[in-house]
Amino acid sequence: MIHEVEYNYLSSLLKASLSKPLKNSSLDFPKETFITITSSGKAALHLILKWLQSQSILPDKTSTILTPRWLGNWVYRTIQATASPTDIISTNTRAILVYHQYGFPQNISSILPVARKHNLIIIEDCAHALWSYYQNQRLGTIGDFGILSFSKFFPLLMGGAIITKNKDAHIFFQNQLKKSRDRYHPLLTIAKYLAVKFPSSQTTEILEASYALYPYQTKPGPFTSKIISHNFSKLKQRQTNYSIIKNILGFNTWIAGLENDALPYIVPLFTSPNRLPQLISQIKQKGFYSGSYYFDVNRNLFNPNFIPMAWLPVHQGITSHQMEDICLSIKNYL
Amino acid sequence: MNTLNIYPYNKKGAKQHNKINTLESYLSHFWNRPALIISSARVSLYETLNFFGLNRSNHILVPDFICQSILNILNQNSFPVKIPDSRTTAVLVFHQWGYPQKMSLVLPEAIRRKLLIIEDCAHSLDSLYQGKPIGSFGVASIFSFAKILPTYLGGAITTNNQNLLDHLNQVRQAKNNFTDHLFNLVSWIIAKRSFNYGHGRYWLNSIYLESIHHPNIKKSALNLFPPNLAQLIDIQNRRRANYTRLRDQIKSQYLIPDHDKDINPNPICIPVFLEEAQQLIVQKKLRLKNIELEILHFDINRNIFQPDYRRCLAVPTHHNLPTTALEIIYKTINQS
Repeated sequence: MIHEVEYNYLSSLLKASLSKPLKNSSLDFPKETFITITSSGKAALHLILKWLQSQSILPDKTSTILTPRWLGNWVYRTIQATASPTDIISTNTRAILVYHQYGFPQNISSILPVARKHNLIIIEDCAHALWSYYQNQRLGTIGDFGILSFSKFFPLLMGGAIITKNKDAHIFFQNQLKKSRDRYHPLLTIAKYLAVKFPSSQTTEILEASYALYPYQTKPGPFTSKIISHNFSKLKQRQTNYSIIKNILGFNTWIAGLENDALPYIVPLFTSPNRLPQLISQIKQKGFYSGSYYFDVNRNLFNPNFIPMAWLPVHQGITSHQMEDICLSIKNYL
Repeated sequence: MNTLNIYPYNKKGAKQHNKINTLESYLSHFWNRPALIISSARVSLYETLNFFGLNRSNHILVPDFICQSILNILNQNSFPVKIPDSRTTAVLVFHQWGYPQKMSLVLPEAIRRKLLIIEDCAHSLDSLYQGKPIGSFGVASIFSFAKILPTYLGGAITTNNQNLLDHLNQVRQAKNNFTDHLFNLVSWIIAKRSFNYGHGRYWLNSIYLESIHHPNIKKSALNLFPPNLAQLIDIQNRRRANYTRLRDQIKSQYLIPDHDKDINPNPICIPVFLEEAQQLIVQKKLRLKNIELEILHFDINRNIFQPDYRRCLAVPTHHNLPTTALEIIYKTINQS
């Protein structure tokens, strides 16, 4: 089964162990941005909230952060240690979490004016948007902070980053990482490995329980940077795969409307609700993972419209031939 | 010497050979409502929301300050909010620290908004509002034993809704395999270490997150419950006596302003309002005497729809507090 991410963790670790660590400049963010590599996206969010707390922007838990309603539970849990997630703007709202779902940008031109009007800190959740753009601006650099999650793009079990132009915040993050104890990294890695390789209710429970430890382990693992570096050039294949989807399925207005300058985590496929199960089944028959997931077609945190879509994996472990094959087989369903 | 805090864990609990049916029977009598013992109050809450079919589209009104583990659970099948709106379908009426909410104001507002009322009675088993026990106002009420009795684990739900009771019974029966027993064992070890020695709070958070999948309580925890109603009432009376003594001895200007005659609380702790600098001094002085007082927020309005939170010292009242500790506490506060 081809999943949404590559699962060849051990071979990747062995191959990458002799590689050189990633240079932050390889990520090609604008020069004025600072990058802090963390153990995970959750740890990155935790550190950003700690910084906002230290600046009295989040003085206590009455402060709220506007979030979408359909995020993973662990995102809410991470926020709740410092503030309260909400989906209503009030006088207590201090920040917004702009979630660029699957790597496709939120409608920033609609969101920014509202955020500025309420003087809100903008945190871009780029867990799915490692290398996507909105009107030529790199996602993660538009707001005050950007959060990356490398495990969605590379054969890594954990790994994240914070993007910011705020030098003081960057120094704060670096200091926090120095203080972070390294004791939980092996445990968290094993928990994730078991859940991915041997999925069951028990291993999922262990993984979810391990999320409570993420704030205590913000420092990245010893091989995180090397694995990213080793697999970095392979991202081109993900871009090629996405182009194949756009070319073969581009007759479909939904696919045609998806941005060309996105590097997606997965591609959401839209069809009528009664045909969706057939489409999912067709994708699965070809050995690709799929399922019905809600996607915000409005791309607007303040006014979302979630519609069920089918997932199509697009990662760099899929060859061009495989990608063409799956696209041709699902062409009739769109 | 162990540090004294709001939890009654400074003495080893006497082990009994309790049966869950016996305990549920006397608890139902105690609360005058059918009661079920669950592994924790959080699980009771989670299953109650499941039963009523709530999901992330449904807002549930929660207080500004409430335990993070409760919020984590609520996020599983609802969206907790601090301000009610048109999508709010339920309210968690939290009788903070055992002080009853002003139900004469809260109930009409909740009914006007057509909200499902769930009472969070985690901080007291037997506080009264206008002579009625807390937990008797909502559709369902949740209780937590580990904060009141030295049981480490355990919660309960009381409700008159037979279908909800049946649902919870089914869930308990369905989750009784090897994995559940293993989880209960791990929970037990972690909770004991955390409550007794203050170790591994983060591990406790981990098991709190996953407890929703394991509704059955471990037998070892059951064996730490009082074996009969008389002993439960005795423990509650000892706590109430400690509360009364502290309330009478601490200068009245430091206690809840405009003391409400409608309430008869048996709280987990008493809010003591000193100036912030004084709170820190008292906290430091008592810490030197192995008494730990937290500085927290308390809603002096006791109204979830119109709260007014103030920072204060949380002074413990539990039944295992020695008289000497009570004296040290109120004298230190009064001298401030």
